[in-house]
Amino acid sequence: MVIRIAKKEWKEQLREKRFLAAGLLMVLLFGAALISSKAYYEKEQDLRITAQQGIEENWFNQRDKNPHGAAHYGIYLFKPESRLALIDRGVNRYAGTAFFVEGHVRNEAQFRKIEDETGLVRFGELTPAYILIYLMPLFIILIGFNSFTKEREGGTWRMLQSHDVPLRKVLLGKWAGVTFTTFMLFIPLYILMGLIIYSVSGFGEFSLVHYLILGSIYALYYLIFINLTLIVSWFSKHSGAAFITLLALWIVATLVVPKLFVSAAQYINPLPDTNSVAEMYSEARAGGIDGHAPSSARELEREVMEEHGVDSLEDLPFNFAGYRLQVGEEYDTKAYNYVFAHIHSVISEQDALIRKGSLLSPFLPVRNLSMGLAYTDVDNHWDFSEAVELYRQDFVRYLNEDLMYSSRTGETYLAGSDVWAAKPNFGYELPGMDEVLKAQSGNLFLLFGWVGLSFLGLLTIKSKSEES
Amino acid sequence: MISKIIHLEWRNLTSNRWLQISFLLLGGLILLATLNRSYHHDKYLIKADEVRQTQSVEFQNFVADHDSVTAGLKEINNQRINPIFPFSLEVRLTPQAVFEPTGLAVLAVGQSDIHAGIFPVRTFSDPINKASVFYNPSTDLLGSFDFAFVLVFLIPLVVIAFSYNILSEERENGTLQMVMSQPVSLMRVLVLKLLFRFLILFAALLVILLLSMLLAGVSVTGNIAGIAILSVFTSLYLLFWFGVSLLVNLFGKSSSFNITALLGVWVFFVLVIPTLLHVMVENAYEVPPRSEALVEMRNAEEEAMSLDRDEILDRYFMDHPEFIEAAEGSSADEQWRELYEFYKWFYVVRQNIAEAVSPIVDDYYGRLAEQQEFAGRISAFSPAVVLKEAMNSLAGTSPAHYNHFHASTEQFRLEWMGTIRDKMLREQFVAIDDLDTLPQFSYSPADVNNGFARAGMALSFHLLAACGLIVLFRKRAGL
Amino acid sequence: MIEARNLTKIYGDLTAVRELNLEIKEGEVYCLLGPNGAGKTTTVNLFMGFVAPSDGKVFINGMDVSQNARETKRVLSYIPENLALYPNLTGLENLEFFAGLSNGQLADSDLKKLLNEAGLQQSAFDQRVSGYSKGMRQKVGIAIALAKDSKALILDEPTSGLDPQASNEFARLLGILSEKGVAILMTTHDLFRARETGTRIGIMRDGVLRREFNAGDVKHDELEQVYLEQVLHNLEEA
Repeated sequence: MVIRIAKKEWKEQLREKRFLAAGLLMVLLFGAALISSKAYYEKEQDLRITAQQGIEENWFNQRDKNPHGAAHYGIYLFKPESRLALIDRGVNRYAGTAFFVEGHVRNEAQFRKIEDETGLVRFGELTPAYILIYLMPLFIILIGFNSFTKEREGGTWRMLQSHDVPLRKVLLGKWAGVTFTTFMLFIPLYILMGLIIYSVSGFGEFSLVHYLILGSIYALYYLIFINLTLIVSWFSKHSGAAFITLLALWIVATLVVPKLFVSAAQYINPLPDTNSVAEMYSEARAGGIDGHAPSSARELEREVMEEHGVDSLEDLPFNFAGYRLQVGEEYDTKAYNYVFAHIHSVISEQDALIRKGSLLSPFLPVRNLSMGLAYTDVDNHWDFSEAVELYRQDFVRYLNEDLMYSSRTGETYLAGSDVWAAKPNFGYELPGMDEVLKAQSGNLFLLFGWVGLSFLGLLTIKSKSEES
Repeated sequence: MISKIIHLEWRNLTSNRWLQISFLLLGGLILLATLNRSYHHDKYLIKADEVRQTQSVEFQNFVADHDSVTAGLKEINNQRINPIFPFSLEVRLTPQAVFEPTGLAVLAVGQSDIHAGIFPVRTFSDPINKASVFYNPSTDLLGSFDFAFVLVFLIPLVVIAFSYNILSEERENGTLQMVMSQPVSLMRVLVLKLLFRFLILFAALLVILLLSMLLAGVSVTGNIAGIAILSVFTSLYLLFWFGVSLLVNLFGKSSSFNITALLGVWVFFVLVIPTLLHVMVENAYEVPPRSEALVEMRNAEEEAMSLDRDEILDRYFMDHPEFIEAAEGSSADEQWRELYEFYKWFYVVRQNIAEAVSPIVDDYYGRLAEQQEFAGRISAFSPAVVLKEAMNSLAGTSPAHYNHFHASTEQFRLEWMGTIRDKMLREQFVAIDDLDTLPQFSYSPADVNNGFARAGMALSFHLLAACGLIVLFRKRAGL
Repeated sequence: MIEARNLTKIYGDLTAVRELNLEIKEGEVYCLLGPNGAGKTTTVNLFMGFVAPSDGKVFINGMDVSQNARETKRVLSYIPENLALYPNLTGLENLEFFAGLSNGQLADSDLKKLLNEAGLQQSAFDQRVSGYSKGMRQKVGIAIALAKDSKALILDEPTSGLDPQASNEFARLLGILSEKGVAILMTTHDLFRARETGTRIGIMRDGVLRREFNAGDVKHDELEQVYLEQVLHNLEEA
């Protein structure tokens, strides 16, 4: 009987021009999103590879110079986009793409794509995730908002009641009908997208399990909206009222709550501005971290000479200039780590506050999970940033040590192309799926909570039913 | 008849609990949005003030030092900060580029959450790196809350929610035939009803806007022109949505059809069109990546540095013999000369790099401006985009404003560099009078094309199109 | 068989149905007459189990409706004044759906036979119901009743708004059903129709069953006179 009702629901939906038009629009938009997203991804990947090559050439072809000069010249590292960014570009447009790796300074990523954009992008970006997270719930609302109200308005509710059909089965049938339609649209699109991503050559492996987990997250999200839609349809007197209520819920979940919580986060945990960061850095460097200031050059000289049992710097087995630079560098690094840890903690606090909005909006955990699994969230940005920082330390140490061991104190030393060629290589691998899932466990929990809650909500329909 | 309709509508309004709640809710949201913006805006203004104050203190110190040094009262060993040596200007009087939104900045965030508003400009600043700030990309992605958001996204929904069944309700209640059997034009009744609703909504918006401006401490009289423009645009936008509601009602379908159709229109204009336009803009006007300029800059730097110092200078003087003469008349002694020699080289190298990179940088800013111009033109497809961009323009935080700001900053950097470079090449000392002729960074939002005329035209066009369709379908609907 | 014992329904201050005792046997067509607000529709709703009685009991086929809501619906069919069907499904699909809710899957040919029997023209079978007239919808309703193999059929003002020809046709269909031994309860305003189709006639006012006749025992004029008396009485009180 449940299947009979589901089939009837589905048949009705299929014959409603509105739903057909909306479904077609979804397919077309999704196609457009896939095509443009793929083109953007490939262009962007190309651009970064070209830029990285240009920078490497700069580096290898630089003139002979003091290694420390080379450390100042530095190199840039461009962050590759993960293959899954094709689905969800997440914060990629809003985060910098290029990291300047140089001596003394840890830099925040530059060249944020958003700085070169028109205002249009603030309305949203046409990506598959935009369709799947923002528009798909609207489609669900459209096909389900009058599930119950249309029966009441058309009088068929009475007809149903005059038959031997328990409400539970009607509900289940309607639920199955809406769910079936939703997934008839979602699953083929998702498979198509999978094939395209699989065919794209890109950064990061394509793991079927990973892809399926991401798909299940969207699927669970849709179940929440299907349940909410049916609940609202049951409790509404008219189709119009049901639709307005559902749309209001959608707006609150996808637009109002996120923006309100962003505003709150920016108000409660403001990011430090450039000046206060600079101050914090100077303080940290002047001994604010572990209570003692770095040794002065004099002291350092004395310590080193004592250690090596020599009377003059020239007698040291290495170039004192390189040694001093490295000691200074390590101290700078410590100060920078301190400052960046602070900034990171402010960002984490902001994000944690925004995550609290998930209690009011099932959209937020899904937004986060989608970005997280596509490697396009803030965590991933920081993960890459930390990898770059570790590399920066290697890179500068390499140059300082070259200065130390290729020359003696007081000598003029110019390093050449062999030194440039042998610089440490930067490698970065995306964290594994288990790590991502672990980091996202809070969001997963919230998502499951919403799914559970929405099913509980469906149960309330049963208890209220007997009256009418 | 008018008074009767007004009376009826007023009764509806005062008895509709949902309407009142949503009005209150939206009022609260607008208040919250404006106060939130004003909090960040005030913080920014305070910071800008601090920067200006620090600058003026530094300037006074500089003048005092300069006086003491020229009077022989003080000796400074580090010539790089000696006020009579031109390089000290870079270090001690570093100019600050300060972005200025308009007085209505509390209305719209625009791009102000993305860009740093205040940063130092030095000869050796990067021409393409738009000032380093620390950012949280996830807050930027979700966007913050402002009046523009409420007006552009939410208000149309209020219009739709309370007018979607203006005709279909009468049909469904069976009162339609009663109205039609009276000696009045149904069309006139509907239009009057909608106009009344429009006036109420508009008045409510205006009151809440003025109230929140007062609470935020924004001058109303000082921004009266902006408020007037905003009022006109808001009216056009609201009327457009009322018009669409009426139009959909004329199709003669059920209320349930009307509401889904209207929200389809909303989704189309507010969510779908903007993203499609964005794809179009991105593909039609490719902005050269800044990484290109970066690679070129580093190449030029290496090239310039790999040459012999004398050779670089010789080459430069070949094209600019006037500097040789000027330097011969310099009063600098041998010790200074040596320092000047170094900085001559330094600035000529900077000059060479700037020349190598400037085509790319100019191209970058030019293409960005073209892209923004193009986006402005095709935005006309969606009244929502038009209004949002117009509000950003009113607030002075539009992409065009920031583009102009950054381009001016780069232009100023070149000017500043030129001034100090010339001084170095002429081996001149800094005279106290020179301080008055130093290039000053200036930026005013008024210099940016605000696009109001075009926005007004686009909004009017949409309204007229809706009206035209109403007239067309009115005949079909037989009203 | 349809039976009401001491059936009472009270809404707040209003007693919609008071101590109704009624028994309709197999093959009987009982026409319930009465002015608006007499309690006819409430009676129907009580028989259908749409509302629970304040007092008394309703039996369908010997089963207490309030105790066996689902079982009774298996043998009970319902045709309201405006028989509602799913507008986007065809007549055949509607029949298949509703018949299937009680009886499981029926063969396509059987369903068509039922529609034929109910008098729906062949060409309409595969048209969407949104284009059906009221009479056509009611034929589908009859077909549903036939498909269910109902023991009882309850109709709420089924003939109002039908043209005379359609009414006639409808009466003929009811005749077929009653011949099959279905107990039929029908509310109506149409005195003529009541006398023509009904085997028994009851007149209700203010929730009370005032008079009962055997259809064969009463002349049309007589019926009209009694009915008007009841209505006028009602008007005077109002």
